[in-house]
Amino acid sequence: MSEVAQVRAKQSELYGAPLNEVLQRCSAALGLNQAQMAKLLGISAPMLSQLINGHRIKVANPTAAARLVALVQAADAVSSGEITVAQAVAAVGEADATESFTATTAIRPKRHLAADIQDVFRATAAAGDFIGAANAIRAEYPDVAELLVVYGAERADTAAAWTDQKLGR
Amino acid sequence: MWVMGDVYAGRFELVDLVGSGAHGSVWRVWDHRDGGYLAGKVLSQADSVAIVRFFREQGLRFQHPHIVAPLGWVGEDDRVMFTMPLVRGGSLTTLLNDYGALPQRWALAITDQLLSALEVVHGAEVVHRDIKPHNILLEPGTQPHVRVSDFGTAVSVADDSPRLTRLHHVVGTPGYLASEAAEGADPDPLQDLYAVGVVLWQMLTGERPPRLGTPAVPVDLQDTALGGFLSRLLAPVGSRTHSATEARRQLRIVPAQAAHADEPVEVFDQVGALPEGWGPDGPTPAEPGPIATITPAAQELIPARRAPRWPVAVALGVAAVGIVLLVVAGVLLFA
Repeated sequence: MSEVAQVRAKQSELYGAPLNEVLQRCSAALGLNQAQMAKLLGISAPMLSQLINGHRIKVANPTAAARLVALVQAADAVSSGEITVAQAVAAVGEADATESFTATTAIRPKRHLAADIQDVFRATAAAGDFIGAANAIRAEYPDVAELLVVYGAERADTAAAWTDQKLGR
Repeated sequence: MWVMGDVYAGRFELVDLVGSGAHGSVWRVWDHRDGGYLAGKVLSQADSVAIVRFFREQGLRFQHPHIVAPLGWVGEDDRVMFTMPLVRGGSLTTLLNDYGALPQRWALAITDQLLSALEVVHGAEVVHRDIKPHNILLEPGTQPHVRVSDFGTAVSVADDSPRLTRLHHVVGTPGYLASEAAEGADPDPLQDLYAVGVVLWQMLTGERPPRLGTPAVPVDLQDTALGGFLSRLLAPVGSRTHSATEARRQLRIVPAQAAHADEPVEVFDQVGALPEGWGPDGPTPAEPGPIATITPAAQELIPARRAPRWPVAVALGVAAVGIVLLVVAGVLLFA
């Protein structure tokens, strides 16, 4: 058996079929070229060619391996008409977020800056105190009064929207 | 806008785009004067002031196997292009994406190479300030060979350097920034050593460092020589390893755990094949074949493959003006 044939046999054990076949199927179902698939898997284009051409057996990075599993599932779901290509691509991108081997920071949902600011305010005094303080200074410093109320006493989504507006986002 | 086929300073022709970063794009360029392909990093003048200054002060001092030293720079219009050797294996980010955690032998060898580069940089009283996988380039092959690149944020900390050149805002990348730097401490070589610690942690775990705070030494390394070495790099100022030389000395007695029988790591050539019209010896003459069969009238409709090149004298003149402007800008900004 040639070296490439040996590699492909080992790929079949690991992935159910040689990776050239697996990825060919995904590429056809999702309408992606090799470079786009490499990007989606998060590996370099030369690494993907090595795998497809039977020069390397394994997708070494566990995150990329998880995305490959998701890619195959998504391609199958597209082929059977369950989801659209766009949904499939999104699903592959989210694959590593559900796996435990990525950094914890990567899987934590993004927290709005305003939430952190509100935490500081609430650790300092009760909402009523901020409203009282705001009332006391409003006549002279209306903008500062608003800030105290927004971070000290408003709902999180209101504070987030107000912050975005202030920062021009 | 710079496009393929443009020739800069009458000398460097853009071949294809090989990368892009926060501040500019990196092209493969053909050097018409000396022959050979180089990397050309194109920056706006504003972004290039610091690196031009750095290059003027330090450029030639950093000839080292583990540093990508700029070869030169040319200015044209509002852009500056730095030329440097074309390093073909991608960055450590690419390698980590391809492999996840690296075998300890690789992680330790790369760390030692980084430290050897920093010995030279710190020896010249310069702090790099942005050591991270993206700025660590690799030569293709089956043995580790890294080169520290991107000195755009580097700064001199020599006693006689003007105080104003020390910027008063935090420079660096979250996750690689030592806590004292994040809190506004002046640039210090110790901050580069911290960043090397984070890079080592990343090579050993395959994970991204937390944006805030110091990554924790992996549990399975905690009582090992390697774990101790890593924790001394990540330690707060005061207990951190105090120099690149000292770190290399410590590293020499850290044993690398043998890799389990996985497929070996290989750094692939990440710079694609040359586009049509280019060969190993530069631009190739246009193929006469099919064109000859097209009628002269139709031929006029076919756009020229490359934009006409500027006369060398004019381009050099423009470059000279650009350089003068840059130097003036540099003097104004940093005087």
